[in-house]
Amino acid sequence: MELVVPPSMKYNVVAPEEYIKIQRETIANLESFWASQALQLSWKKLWDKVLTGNGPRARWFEGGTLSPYFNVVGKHALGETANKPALIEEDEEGTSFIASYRELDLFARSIAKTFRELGVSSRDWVLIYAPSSIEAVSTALASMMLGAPVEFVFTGFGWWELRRRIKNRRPKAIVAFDSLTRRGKRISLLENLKRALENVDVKPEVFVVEKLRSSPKEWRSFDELLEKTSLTEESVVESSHPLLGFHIGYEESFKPLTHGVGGYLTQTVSITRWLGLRSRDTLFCTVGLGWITAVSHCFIGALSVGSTILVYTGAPDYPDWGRWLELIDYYSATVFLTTSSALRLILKKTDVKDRELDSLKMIVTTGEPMEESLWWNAYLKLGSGSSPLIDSIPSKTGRIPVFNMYIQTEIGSFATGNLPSSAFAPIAPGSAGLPLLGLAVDVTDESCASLRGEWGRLVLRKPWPALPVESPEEFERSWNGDCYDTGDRALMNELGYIYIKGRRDTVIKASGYRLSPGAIEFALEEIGVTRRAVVFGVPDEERFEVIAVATEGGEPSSIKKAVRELIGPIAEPSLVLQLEEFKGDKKSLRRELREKSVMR
Amino acid sequence: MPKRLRIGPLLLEREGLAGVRIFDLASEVALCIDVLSPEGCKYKLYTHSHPNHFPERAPLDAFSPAGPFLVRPGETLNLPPFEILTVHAYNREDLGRPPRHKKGESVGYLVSHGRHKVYHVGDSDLVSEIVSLREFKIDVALVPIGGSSVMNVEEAFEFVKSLRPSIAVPIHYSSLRDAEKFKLLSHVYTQIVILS
Repeated sequence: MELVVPPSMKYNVVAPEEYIKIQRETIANLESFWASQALQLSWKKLWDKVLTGNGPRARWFEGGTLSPYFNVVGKHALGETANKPALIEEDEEGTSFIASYRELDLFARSIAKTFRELGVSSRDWVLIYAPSSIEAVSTALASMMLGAPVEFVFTGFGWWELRRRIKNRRPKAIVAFDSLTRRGKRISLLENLKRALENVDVKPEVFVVEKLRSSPKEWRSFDELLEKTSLTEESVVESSHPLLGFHIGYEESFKPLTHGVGGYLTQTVSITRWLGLRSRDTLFCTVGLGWITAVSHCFIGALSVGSTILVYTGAPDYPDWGRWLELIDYYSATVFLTTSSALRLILKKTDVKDRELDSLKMIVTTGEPMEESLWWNAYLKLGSGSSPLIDSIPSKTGRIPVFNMYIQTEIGSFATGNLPSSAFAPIAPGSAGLPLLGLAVDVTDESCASLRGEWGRLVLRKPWPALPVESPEEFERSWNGDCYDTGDRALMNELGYIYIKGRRDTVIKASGYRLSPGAIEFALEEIGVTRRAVVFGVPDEERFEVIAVATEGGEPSSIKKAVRELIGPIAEPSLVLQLEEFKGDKKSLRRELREKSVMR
Repeated sequence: MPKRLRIGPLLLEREGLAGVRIFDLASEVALCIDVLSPEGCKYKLYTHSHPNHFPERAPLDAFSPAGPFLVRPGETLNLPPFEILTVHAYNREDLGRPPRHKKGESVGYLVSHGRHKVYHVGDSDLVSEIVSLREFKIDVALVPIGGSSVMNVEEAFEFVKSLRPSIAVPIHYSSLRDAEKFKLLSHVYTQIVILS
């Protein structure tokens, strides 16, 4: 195994053995370690106990109270960071929409005022069906100001999945975009919104961001939210108060899960700091809001340390695949956070030589395994820059680190990887790095006994601060005492580096998206486009997996169209097979069909 | 791809050497500074009367230190929905070169719209009257960087360090390399947006 120390990290490195020693000390002193990290947040009242309970019911910082809003953005609004851009949003036409921390604070306070007048309280959910944008982030911050939990619904999901989230969360307010731009064309989201709200027994107040100047009669304009005077006070809530919601792809369906305030912020903000994100950084994040990476490390993490977040609202290949790299140079982005699938496409479809990329100090990928060849390609092409840096040779040797980090929604943040601003251990190309500080990541057999050099289960042996405060039974069933099984297959070598192979169950990982095969099957059968469907993942060189559907009856084109409309474009099947007869339960069939597709 | 900048309801577009259109999306009113062909501009402001800044035939409703509507540093203009503070812009006389822009003959404009502030520096060196604007917490500064009769890249970098605008847009340059150098120096202190 080759270990790499990029030139920019040459004088800031520890041996893997030394890092593991430090990491083990944090696990041996778990409570005092995380308590010391939690003190970096601003608490209204400090906790009585650091950790209570165990397994999935463990809770952190019980008795402590804090303002989530103040800890993420409020603290910047009056300080030196106030006038600094918090969010830069560029659209396909090349318009930059920039909001400073002061402005984001003012937006959030205006929205919060209207929400409060509508009766939104700390017990009510707010749903956001919008791309990464100033409007979406301001709305989430406004909700935090009221202590109201928020769920971002990724705009790649269709009306069926949006409805599921509306039914499960029963939101008091929804903020949605009327459309998205893709390759110069406006794609309406209003139909999804309309259908999602049909026949549900909840009547949220809906505010529409009118990019199309659509002025839908049945809903209010988002602009109304910005007309109010500002709310001045910020809610202070218990540490385990719900903060952020997600719907996670399990085998049979998407299920809701909620992260709380104190533990989640402690973990997310700490890891963001260890990654080296600071107020002088500009983070270009290509992951859409609705997924854990974007919420934890682009939105919450980056804002809490005063960084600038750069997002692009268009198609990555418009006008060509060089657009993302152009944005890095144009805005002098210092951190590029994306998925392995996206890197594969960029490196394949664009000429990196056209770009300087010297402002970058690191590239971070997540969401799926990253093969060694891709790591080297990214390191030598994207990470080499055009100016020399401590013994680097431009365009020939690597210059800055490329980190592949493991993340899972249930864990709430990155769990493995490398930490350039804490104790940086060399990078093992093709691995997902080492367990992060304070997270008891291990690879074990079925009885939770450690394995080294063998494929096994990726687990966490002890509760972590961002442990969900509300979770589905699938999550609870994943515990064996204090040992949590992530469901991923992994190998840990003798030095502690972790290699991930993907899911052990039938959950699908496509382009970094975690999708439920059962949810797709149910939707197809429910609307009657087929009598029976079995959905499974097929390995793919570019997207890690693509979606395949085996059906009893139904036209392939109708099946694809139905999945696209119901679940969303991100779940559109690449392959539809017609089978005469299904034998066995769906779980077994998914496995069987997947294995056959691999052999083929 | 031509770039534009939006801050709050204001959309900014560069035009020519030092020109900018500031378009209020809410009222659909455009205020233009140093725009040579000001079609569609309700308000036409000029920083001084030199070519590349001032049209051959001045619009009858233009504001500038040379008229038709005269402006002087320190004056305010109420042009709804904008409010404008006219600011000094000039070359220092102690640098061993004849000042191309004498004090009082040229101005800059600090444009306020609600809580947003856009500052067009005009043709100027970095002088104390400019640095005293720091308290205004400027959102967008349009900074000349081309040197000779205006700030050079290094002075413009000092401007950014002194005023700390949220965003700085380089103007008044002939080589894109100057704009890139300005970005390289200044991006740690502010967000640089090069509008083309």
